[in-house]
Amino acid sequence: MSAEFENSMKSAFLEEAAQLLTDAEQCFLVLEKDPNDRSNLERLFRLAHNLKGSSRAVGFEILSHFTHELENLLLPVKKGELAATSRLIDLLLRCNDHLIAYVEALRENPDSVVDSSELLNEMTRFRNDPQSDTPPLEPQAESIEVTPEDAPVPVELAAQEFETESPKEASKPSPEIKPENPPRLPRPQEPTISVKAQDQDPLHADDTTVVAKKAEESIRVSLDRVEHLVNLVGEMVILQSVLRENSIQIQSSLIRNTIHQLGKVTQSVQDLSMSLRMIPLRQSFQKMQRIVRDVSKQLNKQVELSVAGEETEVDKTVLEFLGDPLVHLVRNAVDHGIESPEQRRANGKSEIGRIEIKAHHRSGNLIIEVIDDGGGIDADRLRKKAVEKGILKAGQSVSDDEARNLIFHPGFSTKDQVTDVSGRGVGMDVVKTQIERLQGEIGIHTQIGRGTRFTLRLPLTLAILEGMVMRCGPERFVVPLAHVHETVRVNANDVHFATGLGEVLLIRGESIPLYHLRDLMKIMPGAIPAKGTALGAAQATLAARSSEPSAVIVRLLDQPFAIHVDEILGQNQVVVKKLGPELAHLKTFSGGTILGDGRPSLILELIELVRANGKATRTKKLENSERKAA
Amino acid sequence: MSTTPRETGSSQAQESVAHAISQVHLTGGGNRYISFSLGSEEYAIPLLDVREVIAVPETTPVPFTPPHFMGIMNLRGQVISVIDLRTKLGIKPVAGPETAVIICDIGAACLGVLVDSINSVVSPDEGQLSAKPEIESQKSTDYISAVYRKTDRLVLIIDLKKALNGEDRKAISTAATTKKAA
Repeated sequence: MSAEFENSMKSAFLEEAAQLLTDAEQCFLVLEKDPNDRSNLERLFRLAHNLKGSSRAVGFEILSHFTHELENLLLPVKKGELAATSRLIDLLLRCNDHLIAYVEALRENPDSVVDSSELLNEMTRFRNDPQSDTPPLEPQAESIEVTPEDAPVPVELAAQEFETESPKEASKPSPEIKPENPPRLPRPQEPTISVKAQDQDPLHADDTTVVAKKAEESIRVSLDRVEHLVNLVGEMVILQSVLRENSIQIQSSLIRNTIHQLGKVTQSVQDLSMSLRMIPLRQSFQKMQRIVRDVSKQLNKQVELSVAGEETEVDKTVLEFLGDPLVHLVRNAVDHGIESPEQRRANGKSEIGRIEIKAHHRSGNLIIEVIDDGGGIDADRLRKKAVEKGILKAGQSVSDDEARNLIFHPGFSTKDQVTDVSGRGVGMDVVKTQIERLQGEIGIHTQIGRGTRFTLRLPLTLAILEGMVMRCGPERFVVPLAHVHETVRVNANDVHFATGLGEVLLIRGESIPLYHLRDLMKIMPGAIPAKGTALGAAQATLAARSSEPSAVIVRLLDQPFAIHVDEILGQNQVVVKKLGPELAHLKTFSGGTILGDGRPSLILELIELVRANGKATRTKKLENSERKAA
Repeated sequence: MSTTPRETGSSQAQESVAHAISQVHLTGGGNRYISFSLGSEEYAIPLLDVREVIAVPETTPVPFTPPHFMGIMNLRGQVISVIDLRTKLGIKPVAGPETAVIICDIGAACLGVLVDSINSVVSPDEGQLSAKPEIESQKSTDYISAVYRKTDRLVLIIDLKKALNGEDRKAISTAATTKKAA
């Protein structure tokens, strides 16, 4: 076996293994919910066996050995000799985590060895004596609702599952040896796992459609090739627009029509190529089941998670960035949102808290909602906390909405105790920045005693940006439309200058600091740039255009600001191009793009620009007003 | 700032260079170099690093960059940075009709390098190459990887990665921060 062949075998295996382990995690969670689900157990064995066999085949002996031990641990469960206690499930999940970490390590370096002895010992101990160990203190009642496994479950099978599940089955049979076909012993004193009747479950309906979808044939394509294709298509779109802009000069109506037709086809090809990068949210949402299980257990809470719209698709890059904020929101919902069972009972609510995650597309955006039926966010408590932390001054009055937005303030946490789960004061602000970096938004709706809803709005892709093209001197710049709150024509009467403040724009009675893009970017009016060559013809015309000064108003920060530009040229969809590593340090430019006339242009991050250079231009305001007076 | 695409006179040198580039990726580079002029001096870079040679494109300037950074250009739909190697190395440019941009692969990135003119493809023998002379100099000469004695003149073989990389990135980021402080 040549080294190259071996390597490609290994990397193919590792990719497969990662998928197998994700599936296995779901199976373990199903096992906890319904220990008697034969088909689930069989599936688990298939997965383990598959992993064991192929890891040995490509030479990962340790991995294979570990999986073998795991299989041994599972065997009595399958035979019905050992009950799937919560403790066993914990161990199994930890083993699964270990395998995931191991596979991840191998992906980085195929020679890495991870120490597995601790878990191996624990497995042996457990097998030898599943009962002796004092069972760890378990939450009085824990309940996790698990979505039906994602794998293509034939509908009949799902129906069987329904049958086995519907009698509210005890979740944690004590570690006793069970006969081959364990009789179902209802244990009323035991906490019940909440199981929804599947035919009423909207999720179930989703799953059946997924089964149908999965029947479609598919192939695996490397991301590099998809990216290359997307790049080429982007190029084609630009050429097409050049062609369209110049088609007026063409006499032949045949050619003109052909260009028009070509434009339509190009559009479809672009849409299609973009859709290749789209993947469903399923995997991210599946992770949430596990997080809710672990966190609620740790906090002795009962939480039921339901998920909708997991088949909603989003660009791979967006999904990657979305993972952490979503985990944080869900953890937060369990920790801060859902109250303790006692408190819920006292408030006349069901002891079992509900968290819902929903996703859908709305007008070219991805909407994700994280909803809990917990205590809601108390604006008064936030105000008090903010004063304590010095974020607000005592006596400073803020509206309830503003107060609620305080949770996104860096260094803010309302949890009185710092817990392992959340409440370290980092988090919500990071969530907000992360979402905004993705050109998205986050909103809160809350009702005291009823619950809280976080709504995320995200673009479906980062490869295309809805941008506003603006001119400043001879140059054009693109600003993400999502950053622009509004644009106004600047009327000299609305701009006021005060030496201490700098320039201020009055708009509907509000005064907003006004910055000049020209000063922020150091572009002198009509000046020939210092770097040599004269202006190109196109730019000379641009620079000579009479300006229609406008201001772009940005309200993403607590303090809004306005940017004065020479002219707003329009709104365009632009294809975002990465800038080379030599420009990666410039945070003021998030990328480049090519405008309709084929010239490259920079995509501006106005907030970064003002953050970096705003202060310097404020002190120079006198100069500006003099210039205006002249 | 930009220049309209100029007719480079499409000199014979450029055409033969273009041919050599198309060949080199098929046959492997060996010890072939593309030689070019910066002012009155002659330099060379490995042919394998060269993707193509083009006329000076229109560029869009990028604020907060050092003077040798000309801006970004559109290379068939890709946005690529162009630097002026003359300014970078502190050589006085001669305005000529043969100014060209060499598109190079530097590591994973792609970069345009502006030079005064493209001369030829050279394949020096081992014996014609020597280490750079040790000269006490204020400026770092790390980027010169060898010296090629071509009959009557010297051609400096340079390592673009070294000439542009670390130091240059630092320059760009400090340029941004000094602007901040200003």
